Amino acid sequence: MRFLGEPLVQFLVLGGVLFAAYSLFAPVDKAPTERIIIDRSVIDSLEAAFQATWQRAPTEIERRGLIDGHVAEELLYREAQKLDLDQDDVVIRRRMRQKMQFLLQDTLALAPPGEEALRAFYEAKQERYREPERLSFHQLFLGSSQGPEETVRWDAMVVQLNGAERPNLEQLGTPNLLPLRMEAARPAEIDRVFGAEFIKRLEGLEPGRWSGPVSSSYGWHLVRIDTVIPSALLPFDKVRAQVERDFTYQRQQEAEAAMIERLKQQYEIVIEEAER
Amino acid sequence: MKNTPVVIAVMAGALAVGMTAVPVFAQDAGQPNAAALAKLANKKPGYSPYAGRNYPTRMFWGDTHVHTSTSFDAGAFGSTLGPRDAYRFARGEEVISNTGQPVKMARPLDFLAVTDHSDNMGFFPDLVAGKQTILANPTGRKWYDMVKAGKGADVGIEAFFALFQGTYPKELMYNPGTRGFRRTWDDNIAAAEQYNDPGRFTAFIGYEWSASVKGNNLHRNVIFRDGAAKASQVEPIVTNPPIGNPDPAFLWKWMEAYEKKTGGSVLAIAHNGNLSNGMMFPMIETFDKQLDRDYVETRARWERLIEVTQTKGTGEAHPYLSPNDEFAAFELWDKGNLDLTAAKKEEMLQREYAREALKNGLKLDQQLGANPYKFGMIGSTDTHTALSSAEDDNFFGKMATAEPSAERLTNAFLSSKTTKTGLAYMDWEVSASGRAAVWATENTREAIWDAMERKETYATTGTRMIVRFFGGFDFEPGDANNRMPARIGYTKGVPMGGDLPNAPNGKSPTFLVAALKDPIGANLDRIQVIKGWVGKDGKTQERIYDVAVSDGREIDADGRCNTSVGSTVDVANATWTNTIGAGEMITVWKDPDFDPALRAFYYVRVIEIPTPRWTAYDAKYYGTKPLPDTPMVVTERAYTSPIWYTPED
Repeated sequence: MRFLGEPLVQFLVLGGVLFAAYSLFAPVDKAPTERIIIDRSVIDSLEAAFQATWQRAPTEIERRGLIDGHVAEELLYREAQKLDLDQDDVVIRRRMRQKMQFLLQDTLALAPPGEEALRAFYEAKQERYREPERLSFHQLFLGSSQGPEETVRWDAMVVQLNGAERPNLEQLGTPNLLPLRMEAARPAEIDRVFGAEFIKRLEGLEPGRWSGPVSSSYGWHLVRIDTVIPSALLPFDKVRAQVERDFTYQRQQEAEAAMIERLKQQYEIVIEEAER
Repeated sequence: MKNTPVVIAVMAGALAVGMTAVPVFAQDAGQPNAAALAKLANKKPGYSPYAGRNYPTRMFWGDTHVHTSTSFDAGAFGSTLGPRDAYRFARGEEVISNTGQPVKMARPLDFLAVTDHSDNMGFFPDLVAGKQTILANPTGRKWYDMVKAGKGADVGIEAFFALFQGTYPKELMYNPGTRGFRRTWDDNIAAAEQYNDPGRFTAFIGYEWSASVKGNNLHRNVIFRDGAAKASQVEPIVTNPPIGNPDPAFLWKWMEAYEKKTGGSVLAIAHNGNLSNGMMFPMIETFDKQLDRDYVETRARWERLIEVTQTKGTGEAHPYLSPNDEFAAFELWDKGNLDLTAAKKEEMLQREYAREALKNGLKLDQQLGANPYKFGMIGSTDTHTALSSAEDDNFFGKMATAEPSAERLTNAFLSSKTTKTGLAYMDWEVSASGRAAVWATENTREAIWDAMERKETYATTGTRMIVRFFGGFDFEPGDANNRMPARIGYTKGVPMGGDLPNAPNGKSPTFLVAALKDPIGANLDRIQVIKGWVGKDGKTQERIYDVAVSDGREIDADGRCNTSVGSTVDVANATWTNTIGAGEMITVWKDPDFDPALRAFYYVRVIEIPTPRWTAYDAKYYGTKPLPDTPMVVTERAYTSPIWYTPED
């Protein structure tokens, strides 16, 4: 790019820029060659846009402002097109891509999936719609350190808790923000509160009785499983909305991929990799 | 406990902490009245700790600030994931990122708001033709029947292609004489409706009003309480004339018009005061107008929360404003405005940072009769990739161009070559930060929005620690030993975001504070109460109190613990151990310097022990060498909404 340093080149470039600037800003004395028509439908849509934003019709001054703004936009838009400013503009390209996606989406939406298709999808992907085993349980937090002394005390607590007289849970254990009980909680919900793998340590505990200590990411707990709700496949009617959402999402993804594939066949695509 | 850069897989769709959902106590924006509280306090509790309980017992995690490919700056940076991908990812599903990498959250979120920029969302009325228009056109009719007859995607594609072989019925896209297209706004609303799942996952309708004046950031996110029926009656307001305006007063007018027209509810969350070059929290004038009673009241009404931490820096406090706060220099972005067209001057900082604004708000309250800066705290990511990621061991960057790669430790976020000032931000300065924590009664748009409106929220820098904060005049040290801190808290006081009642004669405010570490995260270093007030001389003041610290360290007479918790971080291996710090802390604290004649606020900051920053995980995974000065360790934290005290006139 050494020639860019040449005075003559600089002179010519500068001259060109000045000429371009002059033709944009110099007073025009020739008759207009193009026409911009702001018809009723354009004004209607400008007013509708204002109404949608402000929940009222524009005043006369605002209406003028909308039309003036639109004229300015139209002028600059047309001039920009003449300068090819829309070429290779990443924002414009993305918007075009998005418009194509919307078109496809609208096309697909005209044929919403029938009951049959949804049921077939549900059958094929049953595991997605399975409710895992859920637990209701109580827990008492004991603290984070464990020694021989604690073990004796905790064993005594278990006996007391399982005894005939139900002690007040509020007076036992160590105060903190963990919930005293969880109800019909899914494994992931339980692990979200007590830390990873806590649910695994609850396996095998006898329901209806206090047992422990069981460790969590905070320390030690006594636990009583109250009820176990077995895992079950959720009936179609209960998850219909979710099935439809998943189905539609997948269909859109597949349709987009198919659209690209199809278009590829209509073009010869040459990829010129840079030499390595 | 070892932490490894592994995406911990948990089940999708499992969201709520499974405690019983109960009706709301303080669901509306108001506060429980003192008489009702006194009655509760005097009642001997029945056997069941749960009977009669009707306060928010559940913590919901979310992100109120997510951009997708609908936002044109996101699109321009290569983001291809849309709003549906954003919701799927937040619900815990694995998705393929913008750069083709599989990614999944360690734990799903409970709620998410896609907030694409309102500018360029396409603001012409809906012009996609209905069925009638299509059917009136013979080609359209044929095409429509073809689609209807088909069963799957293939026929849809067939029909779609038939359309643009020169036979496209224009009526499908354009109504005669108008020029429009399906609004991206409508599509964003449709996505939120599809993924909103009351009780399990909340998908908020929202947008970002991205005003800036000469590159000074004045952005606000607008969050709807309502569904499509109301939200789709309006167009989001843009920031430029003729329809829009960059002055926030116009946004507030728009919000009022929306509520009046539809009977719905919206709130605004301002963000990145740190990039506003002194414009976010004005003290004297704004947009060439003196601050007046109308301004302070209107702002307080609509701007309920501040997004105090996100990927582009944390805006709680600045060392220049708070020289005695050793934790203030945290993930700062203080070189200039949003696009670095103007450098920062020190005098701007006082109108940019949350703590200073809270203090100045007290002053304006005194001067003008209302506090414009009486906001709660929330954190969110401001991701532009549709992927809400704020976790250091699973950080997918702010822009699609900064998804994990061997280069991102050395790439520029905003290169000095493109800024007039010659200033730059590097990718390593981007912060893996921003989680919104909300205390609500159930996982629905209404319950979570109402909690935001009453400011029962806190911000975290990515960690999911649980924090409770109650203020009143009757907490006693023994309350910290109660097995049900929340019940005592709501019975004897007001939660975060609330107002203390009048001070009974001779009594000082007392606070019940409790924190529980993130169940898969690091232990806690300390809990701090940060107090701000206006002195008798009219000058604003602040003071930090350490109220609970780990490992048996001492709190000195000045209310501070001057011993560091230490660090277990192994930067080279990006690991740490929970051998220091505490898993949980709870205490009752009384303000030792209370003056009932002075306005004050109190908020809580909880600091975690040091852990590896995302830069350490990157260096380990890619074997790359960070640039000099790159921080490799982070101390995550939470900031609660304040509790305010206002003396009776």
